[in-house]
Amino acid sequence: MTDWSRASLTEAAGAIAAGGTTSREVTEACLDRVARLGDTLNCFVEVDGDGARAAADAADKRQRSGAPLGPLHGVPLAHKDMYYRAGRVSACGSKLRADWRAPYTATALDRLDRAGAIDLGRLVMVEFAMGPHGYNQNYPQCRNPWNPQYIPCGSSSGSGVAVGGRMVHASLGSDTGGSIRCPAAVSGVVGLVPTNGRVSRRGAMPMSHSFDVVGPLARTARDCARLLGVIAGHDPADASSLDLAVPDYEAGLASAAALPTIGIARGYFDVGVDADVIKALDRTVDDLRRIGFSVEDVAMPCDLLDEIAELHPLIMKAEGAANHLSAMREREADYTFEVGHRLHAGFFIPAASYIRALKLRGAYLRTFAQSVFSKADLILTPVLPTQVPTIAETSGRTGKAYLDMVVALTRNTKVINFLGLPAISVPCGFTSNGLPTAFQLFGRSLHETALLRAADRYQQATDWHGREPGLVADAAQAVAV
Amino acid sequence: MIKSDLVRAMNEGYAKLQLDRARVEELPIELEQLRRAIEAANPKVDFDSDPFEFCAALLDVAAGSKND
Repeated sequence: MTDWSRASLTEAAGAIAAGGTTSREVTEACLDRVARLGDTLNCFVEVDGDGARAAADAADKRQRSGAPLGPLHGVPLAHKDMYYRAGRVSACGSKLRADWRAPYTATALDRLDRAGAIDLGRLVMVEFAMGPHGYNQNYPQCRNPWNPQYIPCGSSSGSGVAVGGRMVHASLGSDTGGSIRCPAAVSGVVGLVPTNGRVSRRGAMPMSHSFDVVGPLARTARDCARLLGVIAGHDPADASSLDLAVPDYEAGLASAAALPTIGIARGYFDVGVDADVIKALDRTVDDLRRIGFSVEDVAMPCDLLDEIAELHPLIMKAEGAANHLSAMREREADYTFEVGHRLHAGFFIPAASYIRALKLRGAYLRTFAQSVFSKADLILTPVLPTQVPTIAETSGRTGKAYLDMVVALTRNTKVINFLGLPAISVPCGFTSNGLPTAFQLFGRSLHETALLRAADRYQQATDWHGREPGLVADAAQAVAV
Repeated sequence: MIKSDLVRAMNEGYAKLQLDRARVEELPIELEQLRRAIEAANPKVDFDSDPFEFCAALLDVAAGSKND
């Protein structure tokens, strides 16, 4: 009997649509895995088993009727607990919103619903999406599916763990400085950050509106292509969403056009990279060349990137403080110590400094693009320069030690948020501690198809994305016995 | 150089947070880092640039135009 929780999203959707399985069977397989691993990995805030089963049965009835089916028909997903669903709690990882019910449904969730997806529940996240390690003292410790002693990264921690642990086929995360790419990288799954404005942010809790991007975590680039095709597009309710036609990303994977050229980032992104991560990246370059990509070194504008890395927190903290002013004044005791502290600095940034940093964004993007994309279509970097740290190694840090940890985890990702460019995190091997490592590809704005096509070609030629955490294999063995 | 006295005064006048003494002493380190970042970039800020120009830059970079 097929364990459908271990299939990719597109495989599961295809089988449901063709009658090879049912949404109920796929949903039960995912719920079974949640029951087996949920208490070890702590990635769910709430599992809506009854609701998911009812929705799956309705999906199967529709399939049997011969009615048209959406591209995600009957497939179980679950999302970071910051996507609003009308009438349902969206706690945003916080005590402050523990009982807060959303007055409307997020545009991205609404689009997934219309495409036929099943919603299995709410996933753990870092409180108010403010932290790259994946801790949240408001919940039991969310743990890495490859080894529960290691961090899941964040802030979309539950999303990475649930997809990596084969509990759902995909999840919406959000990314302000690396919060999709880092959890995807350490859980061995794919994370896609679309161009700033490509996906509506309406109904997604704001962290830093200039940088926040909504995107999927899934097992394959093809899965991400399908999900992006569903959630992308103009939303009149989000003034920042781009009013542009949405390409068929999945069809783009099979394009016969010349493959995009890939540049290996030399400078900035290759500083302080662990030897095992370098090995995995070198092997990736060999694989990409073998597949047929032209891959050359490209020098990064290091001074510009260093400046951007310093300006990113200024904008992010100022915007975060603006969101949290009232609650911080009235209920700071209800914030976790760490997130309350992380918010403080934003209240003391002069408005002129914040606005001047924003004024630089367009010019810096043009300068960066001229310098880099004249030499290659896509740029390859590590996601995390280091091996995944343990929970013990990273917990309990405060002050400068805490800021140093944040900088180390987000160095290679946050600069892309400042520039607003699309990026994808793709698993490419393991380091000596047994944890996954991943590469990041980024490209010109709105060139998601090129990113997805390159990642898909890589995944067709390699099997890193197909490897499963031992916990998943152990649970499958237990079923077989 | 940002000092704790400034943080204390700004907090009393504007932010109105419940900051304990240790935090007031600690915050200037982080704020000084952010101040240096914008001071270093200040000479590059064009008087006529508009933060919303970022959207135009995104579209130009997408098209690979000579202006990007």
